[in-house]
Order: sequence, then structure tokens, then C-alpha cells
Amino acid sequence: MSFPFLQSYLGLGSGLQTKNAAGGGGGGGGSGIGGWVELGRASGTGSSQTITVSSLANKRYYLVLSHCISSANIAPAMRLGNGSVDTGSNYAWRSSGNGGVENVYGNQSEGMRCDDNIANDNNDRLNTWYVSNFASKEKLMIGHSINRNSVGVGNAPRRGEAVGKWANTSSALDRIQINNTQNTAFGSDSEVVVLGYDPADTHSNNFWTELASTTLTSDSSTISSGTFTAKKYLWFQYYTRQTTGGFTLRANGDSGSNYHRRFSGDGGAENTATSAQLWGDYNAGKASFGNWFGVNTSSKEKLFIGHVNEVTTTGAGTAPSRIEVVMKWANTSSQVTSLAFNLRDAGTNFLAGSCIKVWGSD
Amino acid sequence: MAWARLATKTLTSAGANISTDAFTGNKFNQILSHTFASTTAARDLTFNNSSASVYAVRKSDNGGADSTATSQSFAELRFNSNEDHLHIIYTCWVSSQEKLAVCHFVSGGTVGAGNAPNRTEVVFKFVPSPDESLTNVKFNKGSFVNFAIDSNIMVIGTD
Repeated sequence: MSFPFLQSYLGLGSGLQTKNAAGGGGGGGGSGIGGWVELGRASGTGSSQTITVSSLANKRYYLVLSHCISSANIAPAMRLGNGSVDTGSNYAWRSSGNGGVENVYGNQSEGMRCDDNIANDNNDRLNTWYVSNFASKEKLMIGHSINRNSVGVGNAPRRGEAVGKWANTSSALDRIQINNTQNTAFGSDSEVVVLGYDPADTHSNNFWTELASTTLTSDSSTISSGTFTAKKYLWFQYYTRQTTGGFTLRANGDSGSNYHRRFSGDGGAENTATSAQLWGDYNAGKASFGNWFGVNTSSKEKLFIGHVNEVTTTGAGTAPSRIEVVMKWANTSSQVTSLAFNLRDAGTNFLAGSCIKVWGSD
Repeated sequence: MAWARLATKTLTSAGANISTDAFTGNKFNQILSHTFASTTAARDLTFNNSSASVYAVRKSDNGGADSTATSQSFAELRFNSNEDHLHIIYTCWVSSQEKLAVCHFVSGGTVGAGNAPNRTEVVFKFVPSPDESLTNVKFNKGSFVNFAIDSNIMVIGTD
């Protein structure tokens, strides 16, 4: 499905912003071949500890989004299979929770977890999992997780990061399962969505629809996505460059203390804080590039997983900083329909070329 | 603009590198790479075939303390040279600015379910002078042997 491409100029702050509100799934580049496509999805039944997406096309790469709703203690793990889900002791993985010491496991049957070392508790999760798939090679996984913690802005979310493998070297996978290793049922509104991408693909559609695109054409104290169509899953990226000082990122213009984030900069100690911003800068850097995935269900706290490259000193003689973040917006009545950056210090500006792009899908 | 494919390359025989054909990059690009070693291969990433000292890298292996490498001629994205690797790289190319990247990769460990894979988190930047658009992504084998057949690299992008 495609929509007309719209371009307008939206003046905000002291600068001029080029804003594209675009829909459609067509391939936008010269190849005409699109990006990630949906291969399948499945929902929780409310009575099963597994959610399985079967009959998957054979793709070299998968991106799995799992939103696991808890009705009791949960601990999601990924299992794979061909013809049936492999429940044998054929998985190995390592995982860190909240930046802590890694746990390392081999010969596991429960699958690969993203969030070991964090509480196996009764809280919703968002996981992103990348998987490689080549029949004669072990299937490799890179995963990230946010555990919402208890509902309420005062409760810091938890973050998990992992890699794993399915030690199968005879078959391409054709099913992906999220298994609750706590042996309780996932909530019925849980969902697993499987996206795929392959060198042989010729599709022109995309799972991710562009919802907003704003680029500063002159310096401004604000970068705003403008209002975009609400979608359940969000993916956004941004590039910011400013003269000096730090910034805030907020959803729907909410400037109240309704956000809680957890982050680590350069592998350092974890920071948690209730705040009036989804995210800001790490070290008042001169430039930053962020990549974020989120789940955006109206009645649930909005959960995000982000990674940021922040530059404090320009030039190849200084390495950038590395920031890992999870964050939640403790709003349970609305969906995110806009994102905006604001500089904290009066008289400072984002520089022309700073931008934000938002993609989404239900 | 929607995400679209910019390039893909799959090795049909073992090679010293795996390199995309020339393409027109976008402002936001995602690189997916699944590579195998023919005995051993580094994963020394370059953009635009540039081996000038214009890369600066920060990374953590298996959750350990960060290490940095500056003024490098490539971004070293390898854990063990003999293991399969899956790389996910997001990179942003704003005109006239430093090109920034966020990367996660897994190195498969010794084959077998008893051996856990290895995890590396990376940020790096590419500082070309004069400014460049993204036209090529390449992994080089470095001082090791070769990449194996069926290694793949893909790039998608959007402005």
C-alpha cells in the first residue's frame, strides 16, 4: 500500500525544517527492491508458554520483534527449527543484564535468552533479535531486551543484551519460537513478528513505513518529527549536531517527569533516573547518531531500546562514545505520535543537517 | 523515502575480501553481513575502499572494558578470525560531517552447542577528507587467509 509523497516546510523554533510525511512500502532506492519484509507473526493465546511463527521463507537474515506480555513470571528465550522446533540441547548463548557480568551457557534446550541476569519477573518485555540463516552453518543470534519493571514511572526498566547460536549445520530454519522459560503462559496480547531479508529478494514492499522525516535546513533550537501516524512498532534514527550543550528527547510534547531510562556510557556504570525526557545526550557531545526500536501500544507503557554513537571531539584521532539505553514512557493511555529534540541551554542551536526519521508498522 | 536495497555481494569462491559493487549510499544505511572464514579471515571494514587513517573505533568484547583505536586504516570488527560472524551495522552519512556507525556482531565460537559465541559492541566513525558519499562497503581478510564461499554482505538505505 502506498501513499502520496508529501513534502512541506514546517518552521519550528528559529530554524527551517524540511519535513517529509510519507507512507507506502515501495522501494525507494534505485534498485526498486525494498527493505525488511514481514514473513509471519503469531500472538499469545493466554494459555501457552510458547509463541511460534512457522512456515517461514528461507532468508539469510531475520529480524524478530517480540512483545511479551506477562501474566505471571516470564523469561523469553528463542528456539529455532526446521519442520519442528528444536527442543534439544542445541543452543549456546551469553548474556549480560543491566550491564553486569555475563553468564555463559552451552548445551541448552530452553533456547537463547536476551535478558539473563535480570529478574525473571511478571513484567512485559520488548526484544529485538537478529538471526543469520545458512543451512550448513550454525545460526547466529544478536539480541537486545527491555524489561519494563513494574508499571509506574518510578520503576527503572532493565536491559539485556546477548548473542547466541543454534548449533544446527544441516538445515535452514523455517520456524522461530519464543519460549517462556518460566513455564507460565504469555499473555494473550503478546506478539512475535518475524521480518526477513535475503540476497535473492525482489520484493518492492517494506514492513517499515516511513512515518516522519525532518531535516534542519538552518540552525534551530528544536528538531521535531511533527505528528505522525501511530503505529505499534517504531524504529527511529537521528543525527544531531549542536554548537554546545545537551538536549532532551520527548514524546508527544510531554515535558512532565513521566519517563524512566537506564543507560551505560562507554561500558561504564549503569545510570537510572526518572526524568522529563526519554533520552538526552550522554556527555554534551557535538554530534550524535542514535538507532532505536520501540513498542507503542496505547494501554501499555511505551518501551524503547537504543544505541547511540556520540562524538565529543571531532577527527579520527578520538574515538566516539558508545551508549546503550533502554527507556520507557509511563503513559498508558496514548501512543507516541511525535518525537522532538530540544536543547537545554538557551541560546544554543542544533545545526543545519540535524535530522530525525521515524518508521513504523502495526 | 522507504528503505531499499543498495547493494549485495555473495562470494562464489573464496576471496581475500568481500566487497560490494559501487552504489549510491543514503543518509541512513544498514549493513547486514554474514561471513565465513576459509581457515581464517579478519573482518577489517572499510568504506569507499579508503585505507587512509580516518577511522576511530570504540568497542567492548563480551561485556569487558572498552578499548579504543584511533587514526586507523580500517575498523576492526573481528573477534576470532576462524569463526563465522554476523554483523549488524547502522551508519549515518550526513554531508560534510563525520560518518558515524553503531555495530553489533556475534562471532560463533568453536562449532558445537557446548561452546558459546562471542559478543562485541562497537561504535566507530569515518572521517574522510574531502567529504565523501557512501559508495562501497568492504571486509578485508587482513593478515589472515581468506573469506570462504557464500559469505555475504548486504546494504539497505534511505534518505
